[in-house]
Amino acid sequence: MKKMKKTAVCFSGAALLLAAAGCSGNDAGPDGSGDSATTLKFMTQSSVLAPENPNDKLIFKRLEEKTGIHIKWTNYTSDVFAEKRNLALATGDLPDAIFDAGLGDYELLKLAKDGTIIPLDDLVKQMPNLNAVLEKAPQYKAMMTAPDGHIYSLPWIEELGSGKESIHSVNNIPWINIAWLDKLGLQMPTTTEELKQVLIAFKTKDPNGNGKADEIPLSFINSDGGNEDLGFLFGSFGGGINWDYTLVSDEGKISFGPAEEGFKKAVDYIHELYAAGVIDNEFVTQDWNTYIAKGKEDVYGLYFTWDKANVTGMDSKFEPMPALAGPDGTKNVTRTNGMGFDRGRMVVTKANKNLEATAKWMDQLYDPLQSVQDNWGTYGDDKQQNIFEFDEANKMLKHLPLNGAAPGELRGKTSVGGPLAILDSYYGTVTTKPDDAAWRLDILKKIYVPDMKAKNIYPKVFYSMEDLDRLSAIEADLKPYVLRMRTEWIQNGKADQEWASYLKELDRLGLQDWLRIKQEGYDRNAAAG
Amino acid sequence: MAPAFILTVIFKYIPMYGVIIAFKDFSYSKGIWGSDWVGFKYFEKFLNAPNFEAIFMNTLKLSLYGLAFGFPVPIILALMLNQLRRQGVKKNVQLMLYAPNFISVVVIVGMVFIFLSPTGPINKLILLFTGHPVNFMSDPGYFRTVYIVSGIWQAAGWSSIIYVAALAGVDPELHNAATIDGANLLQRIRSIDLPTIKPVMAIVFILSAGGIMAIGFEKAFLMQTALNLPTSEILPTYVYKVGLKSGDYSYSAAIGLFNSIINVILLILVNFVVKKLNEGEGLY
Amino acid sequence: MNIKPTAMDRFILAVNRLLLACIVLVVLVPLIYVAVASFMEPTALLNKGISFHLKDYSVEGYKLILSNKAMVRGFLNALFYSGAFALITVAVSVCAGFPLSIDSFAGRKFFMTAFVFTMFFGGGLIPTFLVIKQLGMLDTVWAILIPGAVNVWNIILARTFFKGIPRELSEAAKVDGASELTIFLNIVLPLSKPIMFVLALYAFVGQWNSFFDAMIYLENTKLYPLQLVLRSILIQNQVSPEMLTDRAQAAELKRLSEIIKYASIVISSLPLLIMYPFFQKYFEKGVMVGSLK
Repeated sequence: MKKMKKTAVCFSGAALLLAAAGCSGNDAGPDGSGDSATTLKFMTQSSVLAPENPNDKLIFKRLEEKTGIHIKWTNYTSDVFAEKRNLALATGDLPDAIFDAGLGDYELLKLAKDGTIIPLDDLVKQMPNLNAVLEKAPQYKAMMTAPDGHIYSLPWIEELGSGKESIHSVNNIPWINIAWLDKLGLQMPTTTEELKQVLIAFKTKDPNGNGKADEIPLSFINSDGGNEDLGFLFGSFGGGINWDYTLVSDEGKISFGPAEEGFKKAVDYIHELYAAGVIDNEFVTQDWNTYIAKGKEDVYGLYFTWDKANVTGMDSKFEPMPALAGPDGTKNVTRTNGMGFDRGRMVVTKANKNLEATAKWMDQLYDPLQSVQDNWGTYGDDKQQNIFEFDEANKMLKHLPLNGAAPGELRGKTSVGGPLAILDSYYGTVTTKPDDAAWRLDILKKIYVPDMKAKNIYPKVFYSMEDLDRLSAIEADLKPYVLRMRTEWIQNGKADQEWASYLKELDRLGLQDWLRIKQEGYDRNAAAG
Repeated sequence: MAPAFILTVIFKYIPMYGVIIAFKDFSYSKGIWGSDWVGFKYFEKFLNAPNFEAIFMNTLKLSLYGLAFGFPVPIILALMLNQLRRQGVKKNVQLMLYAPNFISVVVIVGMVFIFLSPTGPINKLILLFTGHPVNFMSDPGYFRTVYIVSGIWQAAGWSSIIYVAALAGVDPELHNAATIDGANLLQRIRSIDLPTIKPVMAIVFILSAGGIMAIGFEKAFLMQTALNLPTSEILPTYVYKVGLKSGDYSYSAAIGLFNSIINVILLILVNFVVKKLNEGEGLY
Repeated sequence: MNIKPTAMDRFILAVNRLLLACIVLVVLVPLIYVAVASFMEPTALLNKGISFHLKDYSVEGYKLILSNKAMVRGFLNALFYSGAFALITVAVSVCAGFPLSIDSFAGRKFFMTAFVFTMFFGGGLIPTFLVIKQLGMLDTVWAILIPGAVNVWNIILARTFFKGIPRELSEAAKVDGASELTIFLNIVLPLSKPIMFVLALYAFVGQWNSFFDAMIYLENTKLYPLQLVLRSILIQNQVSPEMLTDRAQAAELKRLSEIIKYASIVISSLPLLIMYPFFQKYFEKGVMVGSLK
């Protein structure tokens, strides 16, 4: 077929031309303005609200002046970052370091094993600010260290309150509608039975006064102890549950919340509430947006969330409800295992030829004043609104009122995140507390701390790769199963009947292994002090 | 021919050596060739999951039912559209039927939740008849139906385009001749329209069967709730949860390979059957 | 000359129209929902559903999208990519499909196997990425237009269509002394208008809705197509419960994404809704009529 040959030649030629054109168009790499200063290539991610070039942020501009180091950024929006980062690592296109790397423990260990990222032990020795932080708070050293004894990443540390008073101790605070209680002449409930009566009254007596029985006495978003889940109530029946289902006894023994007798009794109680018709019938399917939309409609009697501002508004007449006493008098506020600690915030790759400069730059981030700004925003910017003002006399940062600006947006534009450390001792000396944090810490201290029974929480153990693998494989089946059974039992009340087979199934899905790994991790951490 | 072939060689065959990732423990620094050979380790990890059988069956059932119900609808739709006389009406109807194809799956699922919610419009209708709302999204029994029906709603119109185009090749004279011979509409459709689009039907069917295991992850993932997992957990969503997001390329490659092999087997089977029914005309 | 339909036929046609009307209704309701929702305030929408109170309406969604330079650029980029891609794909598919439809073509089985094999077995993301990188196509429009142009499904469809063209046409032409090329250009191609436009339409829309290739191969955000730009707002990452400062940003993003959710769909659907009427005439009956003559 002559025509074929001719076309073939034509098209091959065209293909080659295309390839050539592609080639020439690609070397337009932007050359950084790093002339005399040292230049480092960093990769990072930021929200779509932030400027595309991180060097446009005032904080980074000041940092460059201070250190004399120019950073050439490759910045991706968060939705594409993970893919881009993995591809770059896989195809050998390594930056000097990754800032705000978002790497989980497994990835850290894998990259370390590969040699793609380097151990930072020596670099840390050259970082005086970081060492100062670790001296004040040595518990973080163990958490930063991998099972093989090396440090592979720099952490993010944000302390807000400590021990039982930490802001993370309780995530799903129950907020009860005071206006309705007053209207119906009811007292704040102190036992689970009283709560049930109150909820029934909410449902039947039309407290929002619009003549329709549209009140939703109790609403929540069904999940494993998440911020909007009703897990808080489980504390009235025993150890309770938290969002990773891990409880630690006073003697240091690990248990799985949903396998305890208390869990069953709590579910029975919630089933009673369900049978009485006081639970939001969208609890299985609703998402955040639906949840908060209803919140603005004055239909909620009791709901759960981190901070009522997002759901019903700061001015709404909702108050935090203290722990309730269960049928046998148990009153317990289950502590979460959360803390402001993120391990894989920044890593250095093997392509980095300028370790000393990198260490110097990274160390600046741990300077107290710098850390505070990196986390929340800065001062003295004449082009846009400031989060802080700087008190020269006391060398302290003071929070400025937001004046109606959306905190999320402003922080997104001005703060930089990344590795940093803000210790509890900084408040009052280096910075003031952000108002929303201060308010919440107060609530925790007054209302919930007195009822927290647990002495210990589960620390941020750094597991080995095999353990991580096993844990994630187990949890992929275990957690959905627990949630499904809990949801079914809330609706059908069969917890007692099915309890034995439930426990058997938990074992089949690997519960014993899970407990063993978690216990070993705990003991390891406790031994390291 | 040549350009297609060259491009295929460049972009599909050259990268194919990557298939061996499934058998290796992929390490970024060692690259594909240098990484350690682990044989079937990842296949085992995947096949040994506690609920593997149930999850595999869920995937298969979802695809097969989807194919069984989803395949005829565009054809019927095209035949129906073909009978419309007025071009203006035909054009507008077609446009409306194609539009759902543009809605992203996230929004489709969002709408599904809203419409099928216990307090949503469909249930309000059901309440009038039975006084008892149906929990579409939390009952495992409904998952497949909702998934497939919403899929048909979204794609049937769009998929009918190819059939409408094929029907354009039918000579109206044939229909006239048949009518003179006394055939009614249904008979005419059966003996003229259908045979014209039979080759297209055969090909689309074979290709769809060959894509059975390639079911998407997103829609099922978005439609999962705590209660419908017994039917809504399919291979892609399970694999995602076990940690695919951490860039474990070997694991995902192993699963991809497993799916591909099943697809090929199905393709050969279906091609064989269709050829028998279609006078020897199949993919081959 | 159309013969008058019988009573039975008229009945069936009426039933046909009725059924189609019902189907259109079922399809239409959610579509109207989307269209109306795009003008509504998200909170009101979630609480009351479609309402008729004027205060629940807002064009904030559209304002946000149209004033956002990245989105407008994305829209134009996507138009260009989709159009160019459609042209390239159709050309490639047709050139490949035609020889495959001729029974006497020597390498038929070989090429067919070669193509179909690639539908199932592929090297995966990394090797493909490396190939594209080595060809220097990274971060250029070619990475989006070229690799995907060979779509086996399209080639097979084209082949099927070509097979349906009666032999007599090419025989007649050959008798008149025409060469293969002339037959292809002057007879087959004009008759293939339906399939070409179908493929073009499918290709255009497929490319319009896609984001993955762009996400992987493009660095320069000015080259991003619309879907990728939208994703950065509509998709949010799982925020760890402990990262308090990130939560505020996440909440803000959630709010934005709710607002533009429906408006973005309407805007994304516009090109098709405008394009289709032009293509429609090629899908009419009797396109082949008169060809035999």
